[in-house]
Amino acid sequence: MLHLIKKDLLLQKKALPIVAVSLLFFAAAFSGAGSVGLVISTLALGYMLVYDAGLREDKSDGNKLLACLPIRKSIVVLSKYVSVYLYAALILIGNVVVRLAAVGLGLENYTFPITLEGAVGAMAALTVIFSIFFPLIFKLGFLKSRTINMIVLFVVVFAGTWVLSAVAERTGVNPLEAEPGPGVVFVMTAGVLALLTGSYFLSLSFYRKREF
Amino acid sequence: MKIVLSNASDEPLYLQIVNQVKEQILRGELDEAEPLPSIRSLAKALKISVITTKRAYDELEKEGFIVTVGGKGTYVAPMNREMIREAKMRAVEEKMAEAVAEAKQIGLPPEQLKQMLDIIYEG
Amino acid sequence: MTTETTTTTDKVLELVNVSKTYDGFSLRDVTFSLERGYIMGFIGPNGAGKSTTIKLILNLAKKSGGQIRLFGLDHIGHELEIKDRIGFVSDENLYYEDLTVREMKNVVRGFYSKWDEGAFSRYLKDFNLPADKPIKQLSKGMKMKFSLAVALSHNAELLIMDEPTSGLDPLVRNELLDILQAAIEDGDKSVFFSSHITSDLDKIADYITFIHNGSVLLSMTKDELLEEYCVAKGGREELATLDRGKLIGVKEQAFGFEALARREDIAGAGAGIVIEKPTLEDIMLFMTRGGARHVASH
Repeated sequence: MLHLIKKDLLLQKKALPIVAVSLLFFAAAFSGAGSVGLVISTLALGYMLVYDAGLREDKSDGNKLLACLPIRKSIVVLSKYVSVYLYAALILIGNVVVRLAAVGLGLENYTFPITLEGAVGAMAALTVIFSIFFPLIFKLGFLKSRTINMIVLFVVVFAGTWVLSAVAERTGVNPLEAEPGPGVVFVMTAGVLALLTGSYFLSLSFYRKREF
Repeated sequence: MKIVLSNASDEPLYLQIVNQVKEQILRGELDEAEPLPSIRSLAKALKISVITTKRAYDELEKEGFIVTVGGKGTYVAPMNREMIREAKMRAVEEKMAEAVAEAKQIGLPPEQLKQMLDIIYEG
Repeated sequence: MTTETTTTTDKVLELVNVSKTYDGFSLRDVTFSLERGYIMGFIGPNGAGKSTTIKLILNLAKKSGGQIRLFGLDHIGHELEIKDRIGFVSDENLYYEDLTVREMKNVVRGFYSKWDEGAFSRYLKDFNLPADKPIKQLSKGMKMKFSLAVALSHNAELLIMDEPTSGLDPLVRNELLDILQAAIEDGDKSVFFSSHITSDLDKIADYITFIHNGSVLLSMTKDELLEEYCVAKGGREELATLDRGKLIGVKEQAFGFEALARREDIAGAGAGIVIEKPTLEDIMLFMTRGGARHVASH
């Protein structure tokens, strides 16, 4: 599996500069968004990285290659899910570096802060988003699913922010800043994990049925 | 050993090999106990199917010209040159006897038979 | 050293009644097998079902029926083990164009249990492949050689090749044939080679399986095939003396005719008829022109 992830990283050598620039862009663009900035940055950059690797692979008929190699389909699917978290870690590190640099240069107002809530929120949002994306990707391929998934991403981000601000207005509490009770945390974590697991098996089933 | 195959010829490739190897053995160009290439390396060198070379070797072995020592390879059979010549002479005699029998059936005189022999030998 | 005669047949590839239905095309009752140590040419015109058959063997598409076994193992039940033991070369480049030769090799080698780095280096050198050039910068011939180098560097016992020579010049095609014959010289490896360029197979194939419109028309040794059939040519008058039912793919023109036939069927024919040794291309052309009526039983 490590080989597969390494392969994805290798494929994106060219994309890295663009990703780095985008990282800076998002850091600045959402500087006023507080913890949410990290969430949005992670989602957007995560989407970019996953899709860049995926599109390059689709272009070269990479799936056919994978189908000819002695690898289990379950590992191929798993590696894609795991790679998302690898990217998330890289994005987090990148944002930390940017933030520290900004603070050091006195430019902290131009970037969003890194908070625990932000990081957790980013992971959760990423998990939810890709739980929706991947089954479509494994069914249709990266090329065909791109448009649909881009729309899904926008909808989730904007609907999400709208919902959060609506809740904040009604209850006077910003869900992101509030300290959730352990019960809520447990339910949410379990829900997200359940979603992830369900998504994995759905993706695997689609991938198994696919014909090249 | 020299093998030159012709694709244009109507003779099957395996037979061309058989005949060329036989000739070289009979003419003494291939010595007794001389090792022959394996059927696969011969196939590779001539760029033909290994089934063809196998057939040629099987045929040569059946006729006693070569012998395969299991695990070691194929060699020119340790046959007495005289024995081979004698065997060939016998074959020629047999064929001539056949021709004579046919000739007698249609009442062909021996002089005409000899004439035909000369013509065929030239051609 | 392997012995040439085996008491039990060692089939490296076996298809029994394999079928697949698509919209507008179907593969029906495809049956043939290949023993270890031989090269089988898989011929047929474009669209005959060659690529589909190979996809089914590799489980890139699901078969509708029949059995496929490699090395005696079911191709789905033992998919991983089988794929570790086979090499695949395609007419399209399967490898990532943006990676270099070396990078791509490093990606692939991790999946094979018997990767032989020494062998790969030797092939790189023999084929003059630049290790650090991106694959997209290689010529078509070089890309194919790279595919071949990878396929030959993990001790694969069976090479499956799907039109590997299409788009290549005769020089490279010849090199490929040399390489293949060298690869099977030890008698342990086998090659399954699909192509519509039959001149390559005329020379080195041991067996021929001919597919047309989704059905296998014949599967036999190339020698037997080329000996059993002949191309008959003659004038219009001679054509009249022959039994049309025994002629395959008759082509008539103003000055005469030509057709394929079994030698035994033409044996008694008149003196004006020219009989020639057929090439695989002749067999393919005449049989596809004539419809699949005359099939060699084997």
